[in-house]
Amino acid sequence: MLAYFKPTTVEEAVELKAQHPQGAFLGGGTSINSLGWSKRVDSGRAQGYDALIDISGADMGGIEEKDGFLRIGANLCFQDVLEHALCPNLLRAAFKQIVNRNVRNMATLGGALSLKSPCSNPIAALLALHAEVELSCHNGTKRLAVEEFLEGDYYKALLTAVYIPRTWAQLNCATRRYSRSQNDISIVLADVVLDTADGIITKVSAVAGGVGPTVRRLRCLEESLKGHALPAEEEVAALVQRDISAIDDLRGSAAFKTYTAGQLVDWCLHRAAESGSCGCCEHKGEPKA
Amino acid sequence: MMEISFVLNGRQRRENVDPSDKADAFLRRIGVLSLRNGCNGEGACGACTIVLNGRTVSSCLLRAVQLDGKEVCTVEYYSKHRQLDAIQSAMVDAGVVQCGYCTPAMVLAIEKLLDRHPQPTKEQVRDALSGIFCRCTGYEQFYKAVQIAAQRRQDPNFSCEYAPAYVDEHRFVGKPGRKIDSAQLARGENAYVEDFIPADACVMKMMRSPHASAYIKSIDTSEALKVPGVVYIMTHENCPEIYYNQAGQGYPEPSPYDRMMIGHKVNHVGDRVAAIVAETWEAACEAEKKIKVEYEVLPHVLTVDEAMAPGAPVVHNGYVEYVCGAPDDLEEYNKGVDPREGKVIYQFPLHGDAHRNKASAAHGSTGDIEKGFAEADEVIERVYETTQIQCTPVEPHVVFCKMQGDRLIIHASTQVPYHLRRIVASLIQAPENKIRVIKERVGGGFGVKQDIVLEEVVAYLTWITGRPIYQRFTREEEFIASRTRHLAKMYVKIGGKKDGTITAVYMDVKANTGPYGAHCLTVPMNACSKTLPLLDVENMEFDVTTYYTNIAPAGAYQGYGAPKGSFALQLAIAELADKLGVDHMEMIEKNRIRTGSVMNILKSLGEGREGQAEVVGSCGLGEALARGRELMDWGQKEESDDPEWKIGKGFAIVMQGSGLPNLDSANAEVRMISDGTFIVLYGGADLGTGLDTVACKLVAEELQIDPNLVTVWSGDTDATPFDVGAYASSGTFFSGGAVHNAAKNMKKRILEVAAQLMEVPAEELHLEFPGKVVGGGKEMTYWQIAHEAESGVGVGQLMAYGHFIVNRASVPYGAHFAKVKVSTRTGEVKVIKYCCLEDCGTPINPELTLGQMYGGVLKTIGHSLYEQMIYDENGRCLNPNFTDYKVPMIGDAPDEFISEPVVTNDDQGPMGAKSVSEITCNGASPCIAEAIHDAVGVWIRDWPFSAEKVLKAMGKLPK
Repeated sequence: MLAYFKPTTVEEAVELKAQHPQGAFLGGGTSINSLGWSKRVDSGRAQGYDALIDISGADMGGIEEKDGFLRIGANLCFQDVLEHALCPNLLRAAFKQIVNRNVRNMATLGGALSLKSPCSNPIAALLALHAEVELSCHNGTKRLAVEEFLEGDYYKALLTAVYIPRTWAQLNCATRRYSRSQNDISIVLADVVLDTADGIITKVSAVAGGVGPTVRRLRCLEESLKGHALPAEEEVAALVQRDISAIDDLRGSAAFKTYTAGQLVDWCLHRAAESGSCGCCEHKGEPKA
Repeated sequence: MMEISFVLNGRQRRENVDPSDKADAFLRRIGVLSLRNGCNGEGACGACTIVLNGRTVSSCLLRAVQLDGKEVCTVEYYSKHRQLDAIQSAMVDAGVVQCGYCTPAMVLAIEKLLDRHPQPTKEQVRDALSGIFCRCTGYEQFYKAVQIAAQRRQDPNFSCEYAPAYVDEHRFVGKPGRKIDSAQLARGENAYVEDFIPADACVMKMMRSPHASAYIKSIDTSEALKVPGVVYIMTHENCPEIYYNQAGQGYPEPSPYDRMMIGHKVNHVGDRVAAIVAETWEAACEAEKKIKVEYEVLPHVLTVDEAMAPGAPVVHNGYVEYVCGAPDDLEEYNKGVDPREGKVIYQFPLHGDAHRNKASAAHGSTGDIEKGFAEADEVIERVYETTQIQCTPVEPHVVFCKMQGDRLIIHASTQVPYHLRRIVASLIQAPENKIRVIKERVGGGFGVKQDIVLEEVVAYLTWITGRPIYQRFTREEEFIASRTRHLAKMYVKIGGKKDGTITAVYMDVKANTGPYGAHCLTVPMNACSKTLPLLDVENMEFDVTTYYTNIAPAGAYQGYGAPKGSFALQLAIAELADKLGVDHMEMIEKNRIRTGSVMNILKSLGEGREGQAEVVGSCGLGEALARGRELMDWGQKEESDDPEWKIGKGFAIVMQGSGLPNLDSANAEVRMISDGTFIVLYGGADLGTGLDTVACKLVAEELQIDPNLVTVWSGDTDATPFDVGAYASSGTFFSGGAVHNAAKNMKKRILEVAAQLMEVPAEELHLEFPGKVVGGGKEMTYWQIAHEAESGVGVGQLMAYGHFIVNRASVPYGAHFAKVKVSTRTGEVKVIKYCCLEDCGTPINPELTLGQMYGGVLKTIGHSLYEQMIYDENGRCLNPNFTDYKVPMIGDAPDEFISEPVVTNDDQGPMGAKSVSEITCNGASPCIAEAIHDAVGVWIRDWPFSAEKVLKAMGKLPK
């Protein structure tokens, strides 16, 4: 028997979770209500739930600038966030990589982050933007880096907001993905944010998705890039490889995904470096007029 | 349970729901039948789209409780009082309502789009429709539908040219005009099998094998039968021992009878083990858990290579029988077989060898192949491979059966009502007059509904239990238990001279039919019979061998073997031209057939019987090529503005058939009713393709009357006369041909009766629009004629019958051109422009003709680039869903997507028409493959042309 609750406040939601530890927070429901989820539960690859705690009505705030960060309420749907003027370019581009508008109209950032999909476009963008998450639980709220959130186990807490530092949101950025068709998941995905001065990289974060158990920062690459000009493609690819561990599956071999990750990251680095302040995220290749 | 309160289509509703209830099922339960289901809650197909607080969402991804306090809108909101609103009427006029299954969702998406953007860009349209899967239309005409809708929101009377018009001398034929069922479908009205299920219907759940090959050692249903609500369970133990084949083909079929409804041996993962009839789905699921099955798992084969290997496990190692033409050594052949293996019964020899996994074989030739190769300056040998592709109609297989007195009534979503009736009759051992099949609206057929994959079991169970029974396949069952394309490995040897003459062609097709041989001879043969006759080459030879394996069953899918044969042959020609240093286009122009050419190779290509050489009749191939060259700037190499991407172009010539001469037949009846209007009865199956509209227009044209005054009733085996059904591209040509003949006979009857009534010789009379007979200074309306005829002193109601058969083919021809961009970094291939030129004779419904062309091209771009069923080593399909098996949606269609009919006038087809839709599936893979080579210099010879394969071919990844 599935129980259902619709708390009106974050505190109430957190309390309900404490009472129903096998309960799931329900944002849009596009993942946990889906057939795919129930099949993963059946095969033991995902957690089942005995209660739904619908947090769509809890007040988590909207989108606002606060203390040098952009704060985004975690129960806003993707479409609401991407349409907002304050949405950072990279996050907007990431949402648009989720081509299915019906999904964007319901799915939430809180849900996407909590699910920790290794191919998640919003997670990749937030990681590259050095974003933080705000978690609320019995003891109050805390903020931690998305990276830390991804590595830890915070299932008892409710993700209530995302904070994106202005210092990263305003930098050049690029994202690109490989998928089989437009509505496919992002099989391999790259996000880059960087800043340069006279051709030298002063700040960089590079992220790859689809090539490991989680979306991850490419630390070896970042360390090598800081203080240097962009290296050759082969060197980028070799550095990217050190931080990823792709697997063979029906979408492609590990070798293919590893190779493609290198290509996408390299492309993003160059595109971000050349594109000026806004970051052009679409690849071209149209016939010359 | 809890109560929710929400606004549904403007009205406040209070309903009780369980938190586990899904919103789409809940809304259907309370009567919103316009909500469709194509993916069982994956959120991939969008057929369940609703508007929730002003936004389109997929209701299968919502719980019903999430509707509380919200406003929900479905297409019913826009469908008041049987009117069409601006969006609905625009969609109808633009021709984007084909099967109609995705139409309600599309209406909602466009309504909201225009709310946001009254004059949307193409990109905004693409985004609005991004979550909705349409397999029929190829999406291209939706851009025009939106433009019209945008205008109509300002001006309800807005009209424009909805599609080009053809054939000046006709009033209706060749002119755009609303598909006769499109308004009903645009309003989301009840139309499909699933909309007419009574509350007392039982459900049927099929328990399926987890093994690719196994004997059922034991099966115990005793505990399952005790579950309250369970009505009956059929297993191999109580299944009638009647062998049959599931292919919807004319009897005697060129497909072996190699299964019982449930056999002692299971032959693929998903094969039938137990059919559970229960009063509720929950009871059926409970019963399934209690069925105890013990399997003796056997080794299996999944590929042609495995099936062919010496000592390979055998799929059908049982008794082989022949109705006629048995070989002399049959007794010896059958010695010592295990009865658990079942039987394979051939109606006539298909040159199979079941004990070596050969289901069928064929051979044919013309000229002297060795001489041809000897004359060549270059001979190349290549192997091309295709993979397993599923048809993916958005409406899965579905059936509802009930008894009415002593008769069995079958409501089906089928392409073949009459074959279905015949097959069911053989299984229930009753004469056909005890069975009625009614084809409801079909939410996509594409060939997969040419076979009887669930109807016969439900029909049998209804017959013996007397209970009404409903079954609807899940999307997973569509993949693993319905039908797919055959897979093939095709060896092509082709020789040519430096002057571009092709001197010899040899094709060896080895096909994989899965465990049941539906279409096992005819589909693989089509790989040759719908490809080789494009060439005016004296020396041609082919071998076709089809193997049984333990993958999901293959059958018929639009194109029917020609897409794969076309891929192999057309690409081989391109490769030969490249090898010879000859221009590919010049080689094709030099070696192709023209009107008057003789297709000698057809002598070897009858479907299980001797064929006949034929002369090419109407042939618009030259015009198609010329127009394609013009549209594609053929010969102009294009550079991309980004060095990563290389642009390339390719083309292919294609053909198909218009039904099967000497095999297909169709019948029709036209009746004038009391007020001088007409009812047309014909047995054909409109799958959303517009065949009923073809019938309507042919009658309206012939009888000079408004199409609104002609009602068409089709696909009802009680009311409508025999028709083989919708396959082999027979609809317009055969079914339409029969209707046209009936209309011509009605015209004769009208003139005959009018002559008596008007006292004017019939030869001085003619029919005139709108619906009158004129001549000898007099005129008489059809109303007057009907009134007189039906009176107490009249000649009787005017009725006329028509029949259509042919003994030679009317072949549609075409040329497809593709422009791609290929990433030299990632291997991605994007089709940026596609031109589809097809000679279909007279395009009777122009906007629907175009829709067929766009739809066929897009689905085959899918199989060229990413569609593929993938198995593990145990024969289990790993991607039987839309998340893992990718189908093209609106974002995948080419940016520039052009379809144009080439109009010729066929001497056999009704008002000059030939077929249009299967041929459309034959061009994408060869012309995209050639375009890839043109772009980056590599030949990809196996489907799909994935990025990984392109990278390997370019040497960027190890092979």
